[in-house]
Amino acid sequence: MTLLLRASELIGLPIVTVGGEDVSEVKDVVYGSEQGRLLGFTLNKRGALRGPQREVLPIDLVTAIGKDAVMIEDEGACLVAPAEAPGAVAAPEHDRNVLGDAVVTDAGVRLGVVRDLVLLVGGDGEAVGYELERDGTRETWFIPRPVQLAVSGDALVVPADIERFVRHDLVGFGAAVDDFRAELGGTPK
Amino acid sequence: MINARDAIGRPVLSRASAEELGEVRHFVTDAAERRIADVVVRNGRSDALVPWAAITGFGPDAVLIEDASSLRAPESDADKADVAGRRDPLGKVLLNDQGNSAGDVTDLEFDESSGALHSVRAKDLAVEASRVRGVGSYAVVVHASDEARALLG
Repeated sequence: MTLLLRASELIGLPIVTVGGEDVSEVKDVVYGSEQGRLLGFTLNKRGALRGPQREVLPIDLVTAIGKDAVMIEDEGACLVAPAEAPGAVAAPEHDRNVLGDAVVTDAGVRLGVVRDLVLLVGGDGEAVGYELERDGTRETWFIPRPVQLAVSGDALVVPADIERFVRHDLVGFGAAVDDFRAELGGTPK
Repeated sequence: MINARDAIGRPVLSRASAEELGEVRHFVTDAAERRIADVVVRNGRSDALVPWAAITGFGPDAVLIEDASSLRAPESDADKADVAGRRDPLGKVLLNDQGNSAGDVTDLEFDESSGALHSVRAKDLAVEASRVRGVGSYAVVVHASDEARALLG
């Protein structure tokens, strides 16, 4: 069984150390569309000092992403100054963010627009799929993320065959991802 | 075994003078040693710390300590945080190290003679104290169970 969540659900989650302190919270997720995974998080301060925080949290310093918290070892080592973070986390390139991009099959059919990323609960920030909003409808589609994928900043090109793996809710989408990878996508690195 | 929740508000008496020195307000846990380190005693509007070693009897009706000199007023920032409940598990979010919560901590059990933690409870589960990783101002963090790990693949 695979538990999935949307990247947008991470916004506002506390950043908690294994010592039980909530040292920050997720302001936004930074996604690398070429890597197919989260690169890290921008942060908000919690409590009385609420507001944007200068430091960022690179994904490699995250020990777990759960439904209720993002876990780290300790505050001093994990929340880093933008200058010390991998460049893409500190200065996200918004044109490489897939949200809002059109999804087009390699047969030339436009499926819709990317609204969210689907992640594995407990995973390393890898995106296993995308949530699409179908053009002209309010319908939601979940599609697996192909391992080999052309991304331009305007559009994502996916195999035409992907329509077989579309699901309309997150329940059951985990199995569709597994099936898709077994048949087409190969195993992610 | 003592249930911490029931012990909140229990009178604290001096064994030497039989005087009432206050009541149990918070527990201070040592997460690494998995034991109660201190008990926070409230007397009126002031709080003091009593080290576990100065407790001569933790009973169902009263807590006996050696005498009033066992009470330590909070001075350091760490003491002040402890008096405010920073390392008290009660009411904190019970979180496993995979970032998933099982609700808030409703109770903890400890051994009345040694102060050793036995278990931490949330709504519908009890976690053995051996799985506790940390107790902080926000959460009690525990090692995810094998079942939880298996579920996450």
